[in-house]
Amino acid sequence: MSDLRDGVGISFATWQDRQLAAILNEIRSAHAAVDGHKEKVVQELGKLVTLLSEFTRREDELRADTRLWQDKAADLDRQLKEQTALRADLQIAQQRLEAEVARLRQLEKNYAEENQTLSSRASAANFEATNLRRLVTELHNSLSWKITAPLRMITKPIFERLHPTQPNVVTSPTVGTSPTAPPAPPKPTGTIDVFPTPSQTTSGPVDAILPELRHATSIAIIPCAIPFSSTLNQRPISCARYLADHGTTVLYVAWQWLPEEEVPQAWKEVYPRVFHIPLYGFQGNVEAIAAASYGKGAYLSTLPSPGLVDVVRPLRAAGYHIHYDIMDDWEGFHKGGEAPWFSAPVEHEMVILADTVTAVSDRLAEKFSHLRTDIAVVRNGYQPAALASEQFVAAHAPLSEKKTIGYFGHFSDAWFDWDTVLYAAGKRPDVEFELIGWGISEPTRMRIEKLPNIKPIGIVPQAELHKYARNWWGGMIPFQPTDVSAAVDPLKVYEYLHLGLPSIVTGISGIAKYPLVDYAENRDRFVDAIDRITSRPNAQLLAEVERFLKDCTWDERFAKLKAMLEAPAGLAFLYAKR
Amino acid sequence: MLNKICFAYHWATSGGVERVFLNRGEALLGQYPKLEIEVYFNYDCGGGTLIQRYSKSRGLSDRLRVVRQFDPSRYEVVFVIDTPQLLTDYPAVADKMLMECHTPYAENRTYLKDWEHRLKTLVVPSSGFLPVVESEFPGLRGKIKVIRNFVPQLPPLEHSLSLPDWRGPVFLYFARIDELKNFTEFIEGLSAAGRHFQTQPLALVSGQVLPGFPVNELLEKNRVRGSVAILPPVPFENSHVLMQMLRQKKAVFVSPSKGESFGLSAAEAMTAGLPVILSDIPPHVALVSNRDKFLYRLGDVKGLAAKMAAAVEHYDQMSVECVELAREFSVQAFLSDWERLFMGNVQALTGVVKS
Repeated sequence: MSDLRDGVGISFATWQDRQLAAILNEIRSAHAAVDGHKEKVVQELGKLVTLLSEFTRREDELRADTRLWQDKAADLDRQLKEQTALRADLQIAQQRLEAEVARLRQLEKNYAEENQTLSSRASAANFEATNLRRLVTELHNSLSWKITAPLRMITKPIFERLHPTQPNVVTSPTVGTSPTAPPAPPKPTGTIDVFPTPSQTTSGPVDAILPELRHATSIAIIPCAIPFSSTLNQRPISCARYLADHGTTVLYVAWQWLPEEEVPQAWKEVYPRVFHIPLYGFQGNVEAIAAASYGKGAYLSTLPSPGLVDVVRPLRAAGYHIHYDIMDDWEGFHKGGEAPWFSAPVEHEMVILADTVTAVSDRLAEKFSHLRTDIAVVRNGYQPAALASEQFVAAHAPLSEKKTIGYFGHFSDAWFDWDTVLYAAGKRPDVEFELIGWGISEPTRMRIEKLPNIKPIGIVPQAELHKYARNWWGGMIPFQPTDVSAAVDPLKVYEYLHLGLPSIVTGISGIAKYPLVDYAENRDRFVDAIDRITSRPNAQLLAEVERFLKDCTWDERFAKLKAMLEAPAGLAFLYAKR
Repeated sequence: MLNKICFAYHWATSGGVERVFLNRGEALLGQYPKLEIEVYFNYDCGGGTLIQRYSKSRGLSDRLRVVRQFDPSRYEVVFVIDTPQLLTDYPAVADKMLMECHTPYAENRTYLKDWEHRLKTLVVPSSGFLPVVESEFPGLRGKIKVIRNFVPQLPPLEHSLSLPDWRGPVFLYFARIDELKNFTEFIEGLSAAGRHFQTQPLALVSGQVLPGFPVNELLEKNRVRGSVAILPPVPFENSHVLMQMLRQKKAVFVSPSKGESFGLSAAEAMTAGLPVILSDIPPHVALVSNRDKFLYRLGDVKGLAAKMAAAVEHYDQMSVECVELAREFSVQAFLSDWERLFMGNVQALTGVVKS
């Protein structure tokens, strides 16, 4: 088969051969080129391998260097840690030394002050000794003593037989001589220290707290009618907690009717820096307590019993600031058959003796204004955290279907106005009265059982009150209109306000102007006040309550009291340790 | 002039004699730059430390100090105050001793019976006390000299200090609570004064209570418990502070005392500007130059009450008058007595008469 290609006139086979030969030539040329490249690549690869091995070597060297420096760094780090620890040890040791120096300085100062106190007491004892000697001298010089001398001479042998001289009796140090009847002390050997080795002569449980007192920079003694409990909200207890929380060592004196009456955790630390002291133990050891009080002392009297007024004198002599906190109308209690220890003149004595005086209500401040005009009103307060609920928890809850008026606290027939509550329950059978607390007497229980809309709940922990109160439309404080009621500043009103409850109050005119308080002058007004509660307090009212409550916490109240205790006071200055 | 002297006393407490030592010490050391004073007590009941502390605080401790060993040979004159025992223990002191009688308690100065004919001189602290001692011990007639007690100029009061705002008029009793100082009459006077005032008068009492003295019974009997604040004895370095604070409260000082050798507390009160109502015993009469408005007849409770009321009514005028009268027992009066006594032959005054 033949074919003509491109007009050249050669056969197809020839053209094919030529093309093949050309392709082969190209392939050969390509192979040759590839071989050339290949050689170059191999050369380059050789170089790369060389470089790689160089890099590997260098990397190994760098790794070795890194390990070396890491080791060195670790070594340095260890050394640094050792030095830091050493420095910390040194700092701790230095701090300990500084603390020890400070402690020793304080101790030295304390002993100097103790020496001074004991010297003063020695001086006082000497006065007494001198006076007693004078009495003896007067007796010896008296006509009757001289006239009866022959009789004594005759009867002396009889008395000697009755009271033979005791051998080896250790006599107390002679404190001096009467000019007319001098004893014969060993003389002359210079001045004799009448009390050369001052020492604490106390023994018993008070010894356990004296070291605490010696180290305390601030001391407060707070008597109270009930034992200390960190869960209670009473004024003296809250005050003790507040002062202790602010660094003061507190001797909390718990009332006893009899010395043998047991006080829980007596002489123990019942709260950080609060020591529980039985009343009789306190009164019996007040001199030792006063002598060991090197820090600034304050006596916060809340009970004007004669024994607790008598302790003012030794405490005053030891430089204590004397404060009387009038928290109740004790005279009213006394008239009502309580506080049998009460004596109006003794309370007046306390009022005029004190450096500073506070009262829980205007009424009480006014009661004693004929004695002094500087009685400050520091009302009661409350501890928001103790209620374990957010502010206005009841006000923010929807009103329950049934109108409920609540109360929590003590139900003493002496002051709780049962007549008014029973009258209101009778008048408004559709309103429920929920009563939380303790102290309902049996006769009263029988009376309230007749009224189905009065519901005694019993005791509820303070932290759970809000669970009941959120269903209430309002709270009530129905107190009888007595002198005692007129003088009180009830704790619960602050708690009702914290919960956001309107409060209906009788008997306590002193709180009539508090926000959300509706003061009812009689039982009908009490019913009217219940009728007036138709909704939750609005935002404007709650804002007013919020502003009011800011000053009503115990912290705010006691900050004022603390400032009074710390301000310079003329009488306390006279005896202050300097 | 004297260069080294000693004040000797039986007890170191914080009483009137110790205050006299301090007052004298401060005045004399200021007047006589070369003088050194040492104080010796037979028995130290704490007062020695107080004097040392006070002396140090006033920058006087190199020239006014308490010594614990007594060596009479170190001194030109030893002033022995109501302490005859010292002569028994240290007979050598007799030649340079100048005995002083300051005790208002009659039974405590009976020791002078043994000395009235032997002493060359006896010193008493006021012209009012001189006739009292002279009448008791006639052998001392003509030998008794007066070195008046005095009240130093009062340092200013710290402005921040003040007493409670008591409502009623306030009366101050500043003395031992015993029969000689006559606390009973003070309380009876306070009770009786009540009818002169619309508000209940109050009393501030500061002093050592005689053991067994029935204070509360007395207050209750006179129906004034609740109107009387009884304080512990005020440390002597602070007595002027109390007086000055009481002046701010327009208080009146009352002393119904049956016996005083000078009346140092009354003098301090007058210096501070407190009107005084005093029993009419000679030392008191001398303090107020026998002016009747300041005196009442001892034992006359109604008279005392009336004078107390009058002092409140005419407070400012009586206050000014008291300050004027107080110049009589200023430091200048004391220094004048001192110089008059010691400008001549000291040996003629000291020691005992050789028999």
